[in-house]
Amino acid sequence: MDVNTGSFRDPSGQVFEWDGEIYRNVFGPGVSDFEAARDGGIYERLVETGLLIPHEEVDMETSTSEEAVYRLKHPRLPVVSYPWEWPFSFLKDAALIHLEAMKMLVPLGFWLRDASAFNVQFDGDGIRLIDTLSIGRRIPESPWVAYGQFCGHFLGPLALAAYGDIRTLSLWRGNIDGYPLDLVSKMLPFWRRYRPGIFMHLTLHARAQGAADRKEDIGKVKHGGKTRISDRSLLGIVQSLRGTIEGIKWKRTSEIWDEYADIRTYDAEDVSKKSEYVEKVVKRLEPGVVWDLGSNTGEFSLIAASHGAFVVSIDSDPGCTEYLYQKVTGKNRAKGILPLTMDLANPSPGLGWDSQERLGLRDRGPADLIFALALIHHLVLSCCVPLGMIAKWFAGLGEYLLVEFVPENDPMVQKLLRNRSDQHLPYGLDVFKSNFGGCFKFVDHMALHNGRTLFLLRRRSDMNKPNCDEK
Amino acid sequence: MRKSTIILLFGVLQLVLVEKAHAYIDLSVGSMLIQGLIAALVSIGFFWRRVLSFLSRLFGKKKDQ
Repeated sequence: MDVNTGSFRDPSGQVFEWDGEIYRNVFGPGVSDFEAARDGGIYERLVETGLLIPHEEVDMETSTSEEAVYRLKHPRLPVVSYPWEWPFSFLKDAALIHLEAMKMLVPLGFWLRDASAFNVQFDGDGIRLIDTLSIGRRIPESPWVAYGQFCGHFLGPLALAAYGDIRTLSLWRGNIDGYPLDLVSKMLPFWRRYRPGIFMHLTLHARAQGAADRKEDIGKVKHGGKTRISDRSLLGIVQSLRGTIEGIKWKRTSEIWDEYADIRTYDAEDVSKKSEYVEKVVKRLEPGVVWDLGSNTGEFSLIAASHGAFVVSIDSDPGCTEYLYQKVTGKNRAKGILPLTMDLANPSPGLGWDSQERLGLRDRGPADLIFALALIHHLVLSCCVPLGMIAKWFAGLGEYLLVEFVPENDPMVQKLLRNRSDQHLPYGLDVFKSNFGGCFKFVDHMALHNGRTLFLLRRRSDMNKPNCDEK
Repeated sequence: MRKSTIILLFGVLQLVLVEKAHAYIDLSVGSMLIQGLIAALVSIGFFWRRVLSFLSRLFGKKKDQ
């Protein structure tokens, strides 16, 4: 039994893996809420509307834990992801499903006990709440216990990303339980802080948090009274949050269109040759999980997904991942694509408790097939990483690798080398082959007219630790 | 902030936290207390918006005449 490294905070339950399946133990403190929600048909309603991940109760023949009162089995998520990687609209949708759930739960006498971005995941088909035990009975007349967390996890990051700069989403990496509200308030453009929704839920909220915590410290806040919030008031707050979140719009700048300058190096025939080859490889290998590294607008991710693969589509440009996310969730819905924003030379690290609570990129593998299409020249020439190290890195991530190698005389490479002459790391087809040949077998290849070549490689050793000695 | 808002805010802060929080996450006292004020502001907002839409319908009709 492997306990999930991120599942330890809630005394009500714990998620673990056993024999390839995902289970959740429900402990004593969580029993009454669980039984109430189950008997009230709450779980069914939430699963039906696509808000909650489904579960089934299973018998506990193997008592892995004496304290477990119930055991639930959940469908396995293909790949886990975190708020610091999500496209803007993914985070926004994650906020909105919380509010939709609250809107449904409160009139029924329930609510969400927490409002954490880590309670949301993509299951291949859509975004869902994955913490079944987050649903609990509403304490009558009580303010929402998760209001502060909701604002820190969702409202703050979204407002700062949209009204400050989209790159502030990386602040998530340094603030593992959501952004401090005073930090967001301080960094928002002055006039934004005083618009109604933001003013109430961020600015005023931040001041109340600061003031109340100080007063509590000096003993001015006594225990004995109540702040009463009726169901109607709570729903009003939820509605207000919803309007505020929906109104936060990020204007994506047109950087991605500059990427299309790359297209000039392909003639029409090359474009279709490349697509056909990628499709051929996918059909031949039938990968379960594909990682498309440097996916740009996701053209090849879509090809892989159309053949049933689950595709993690990684790009460092938030505009690209946002574009792809909106595309796959919009009118032409495509299943199985998870766009993530990440700098591949500084990918998501392990974070949280003991740096293992939230997994780094390399612990979310393995991938069956990796796309590195027109990527490696960036890593060598812009990020200054030697080819040998890049080869080892790929070998640690997945079994098959599809590389589009861009030669030195290519206009895009020339552009990168413009001001550097010889002061760059070794780069060229021979160097590529000798460095990658240590870890990989060259299985197949296809040349394009523009001088670029697609190579299909397979990792040599079956062990996880690749044996990458150069020949 | 307007003086009346400051007074209102302090008024709310003199009230106190619900006795048992029934939450395992870290609670900020301020986040609980502020909801009373926010609920009030929200309902003022709803009321204000209804007034505005009533007025705009009223003046809209007058224009048609």
